[in-house]
Amino acid sequence: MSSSQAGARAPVSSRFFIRVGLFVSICAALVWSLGELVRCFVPWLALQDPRRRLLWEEDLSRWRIFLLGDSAFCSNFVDRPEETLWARLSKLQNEEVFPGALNGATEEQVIEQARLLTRAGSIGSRVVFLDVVATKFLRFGQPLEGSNAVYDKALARRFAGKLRLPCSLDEVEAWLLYNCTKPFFLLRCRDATEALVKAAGHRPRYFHDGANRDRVWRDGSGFARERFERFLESRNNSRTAPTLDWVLRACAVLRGAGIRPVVVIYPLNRALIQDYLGTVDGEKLYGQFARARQAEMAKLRGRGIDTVDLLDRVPSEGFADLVHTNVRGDEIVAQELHSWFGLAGRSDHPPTIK
Amino acid sequence: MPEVTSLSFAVFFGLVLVCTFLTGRSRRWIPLLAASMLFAACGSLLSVVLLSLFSFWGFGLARLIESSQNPRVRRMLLLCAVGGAIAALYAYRSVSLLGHAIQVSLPARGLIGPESTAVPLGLSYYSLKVVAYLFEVYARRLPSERHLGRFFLYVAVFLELPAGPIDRPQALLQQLEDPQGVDQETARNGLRLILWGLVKKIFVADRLGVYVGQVFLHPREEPWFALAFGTVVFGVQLYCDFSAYSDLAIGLGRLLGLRLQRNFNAPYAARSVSDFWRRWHISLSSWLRDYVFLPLTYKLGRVLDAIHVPSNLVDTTAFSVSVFVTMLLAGLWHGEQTTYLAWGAVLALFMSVSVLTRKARRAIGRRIGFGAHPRLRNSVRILSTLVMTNIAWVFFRASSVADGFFILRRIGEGIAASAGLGPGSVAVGPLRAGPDFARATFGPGQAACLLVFVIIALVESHGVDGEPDFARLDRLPTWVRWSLYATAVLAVLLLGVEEGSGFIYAGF
Repeated sequence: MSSSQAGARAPVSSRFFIRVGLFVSICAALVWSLGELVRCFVPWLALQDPRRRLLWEEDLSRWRIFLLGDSAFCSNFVDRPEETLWARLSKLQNEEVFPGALNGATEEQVIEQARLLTRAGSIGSRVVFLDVVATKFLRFGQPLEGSNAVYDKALARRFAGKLRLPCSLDEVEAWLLYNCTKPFFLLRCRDATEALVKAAGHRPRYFHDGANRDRVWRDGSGFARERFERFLESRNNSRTAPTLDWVLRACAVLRGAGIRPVVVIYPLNRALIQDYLGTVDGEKLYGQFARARQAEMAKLRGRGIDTVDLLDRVPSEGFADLVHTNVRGDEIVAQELHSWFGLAGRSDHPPTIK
Repeated sequence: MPEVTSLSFAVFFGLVLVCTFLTGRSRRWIPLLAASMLFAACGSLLSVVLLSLFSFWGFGLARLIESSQNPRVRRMLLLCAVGGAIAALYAYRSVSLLGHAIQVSLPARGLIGPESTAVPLGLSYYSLKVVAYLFEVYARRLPSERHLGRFFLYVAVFLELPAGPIDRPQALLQQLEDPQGVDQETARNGLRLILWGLVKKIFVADRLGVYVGQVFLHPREEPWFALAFGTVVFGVQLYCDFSAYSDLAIGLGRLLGLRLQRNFNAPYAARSVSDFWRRWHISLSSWLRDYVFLPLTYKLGRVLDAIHVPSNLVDTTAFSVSVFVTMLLAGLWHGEQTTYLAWGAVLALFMSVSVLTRKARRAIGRRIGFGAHPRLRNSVRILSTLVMTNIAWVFFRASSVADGFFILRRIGEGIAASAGLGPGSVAVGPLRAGPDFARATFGPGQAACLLVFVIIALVESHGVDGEPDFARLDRLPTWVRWSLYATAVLAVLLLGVEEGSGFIYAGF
């Protein structure tokens, strides 16, 4: 287009801007009304994934007990909602426990989970159980579960706090997203919208479906062995030094907001390691975990952080694979967490279960 | 650096738009340059330093080249200038690669953060822009730029920093020198192109990317049909992702009064691999053609003539060698990983074989009467080109060359088994039994995305230079047009993937 042609064309008029503005307003009204219609007339809560509740729950202020972390706290291997770790603990505690752990969450994402909780408003004393899978003592690469899961944006934009300068670009983005999407249900709860979109194809099943079912690692399907081999592969590829700095950072975030963090060292399937690696090599590997665990526990205790050590508390039948518990295992873990409350109520010192 | 599809970028762009509107045409370069520097600084301060160094380097040496009358000195200066720019590009990439290796292997983590090992924003793109400018000045096809600010902007214009296009100096410098006003039609088409790009990226590419990511995460555990289908879907994802960025950059550029170069022209409608390469990433392919392929072919032809190679072999030999060098360089431009080199080599192989067998193929075509059915012939050509480009995409996406070969072998075995030509049990099923969270699943959402892609491809192939012909849209009734816009906006807002990855080509 030459300059003479451009000159012949109409310059951008105010009418053009009005039409663009009108279009944006109509789109906003459409999205808002669609969202309200869905919220009022669609049973959207029933379609949501309970293991992603942190990403769709609108109000976190009414819970006092939270589970944060990765797949270990997600109760992937149970058949019914009432068999989940949080349901069992809720029953034992006689108050609802919030399942805030996310499948495949990375260490940074666990810290972000903690941050999100501090931004979501508070109702007095809160307790957060933070799971640490024993394999993380030795930093074995990516998590086994949903290893391509990404939650960064979803976590960052939920419950954005006040924007304080100087701030990073990501904080600005999160603040903008939170405030711009606040009035629109479908945009505010993107995870809920995504679940609705998926449900349009077929109604999702989150329990007793596919791999999400009660199973014992020795069920002959090769499931546990496959995952163990992948774990060994990632161990061999990993050369980074062991560190639980991320746990300390997550705890610092929570403590800074007056929330009490409790680090739960999750059980490990000793029998599986021995069975797949042989007694000698298996014991050697398990010994590595146990020693690393001792060192890290000492560090946590030194900082006055409450710990619950469940490394060898679950019998072999309570596992679906190397680190994930099944119905039986979740029941034991729930009991142990419940008993922590008993100890915590009786002592002024940070309680530690071992 | 804010993602071009992010809300913070929208706010940033809005501010830039207002500033350029207020400053007037002749000084438009000032807010644009400031915005470009700010944009680069959001990535890292190192990006600003490197951008400045490249700009000064190109600006200064081009002036020297132009003023020098001695051909040998001019040539030395050009070699020095181009060599310096390319060496800086690859030196920094090697340092990044080394830094990454150290970061992975050093027990003391935290010494080298991930940000220090990342390639600075846009380095691969603006280094080629500087080189193109130097070549043009050397060839006296372009006078050297006298205005440092405008040259700086040519190198650093923020719309082209993340993923190109690699605009030619003649086109962009001219626009910066004589800025055009933004008329209503340009603004309207710019907005339409932005919406078009957003649909391609957020609705199609990102949703398909979820499936592709699952397939290529553990390719050895996927059945052959998932690998074959995943490769095709990856080709779609890559096109929608990269061309979406180009659409966004061009659309946003139009709102600022800039006409950026088109980067795609319906590549999946290509009738040969060479044709595909002419339509795919046009700004890079034409750069390589003009500054590598053509000079090399010409030079080689002369050398082969000089050593008395039979004349019928000169052209094909020069072409084949040049095409291999060019495509290997194209692969190297994407990164130092051997998979990119393999991708370039595979494309080069197809191009060379295509030239070498041209006569034979024509003879066969005549014999079976292909010429009498031009539609059938074109369909076969398009289909065979698609197969060849998809074979190359396997290497582009695979984590290693070994994985690439494995995927191709498994697909080949699977197809053979399905045709009853090979052992079915090996090829058809997954290697390991048992359900797995990581196994890829292609849902109705992704199927809808593929359908939308077909519509996109059809619209673009019937458009003007690969861009949708928006004039046709104007002929539709107003309510239909606005409903289409609203549908596109709702698709982006409600059906897009929130956790979409960044633009693939922004990583190169």
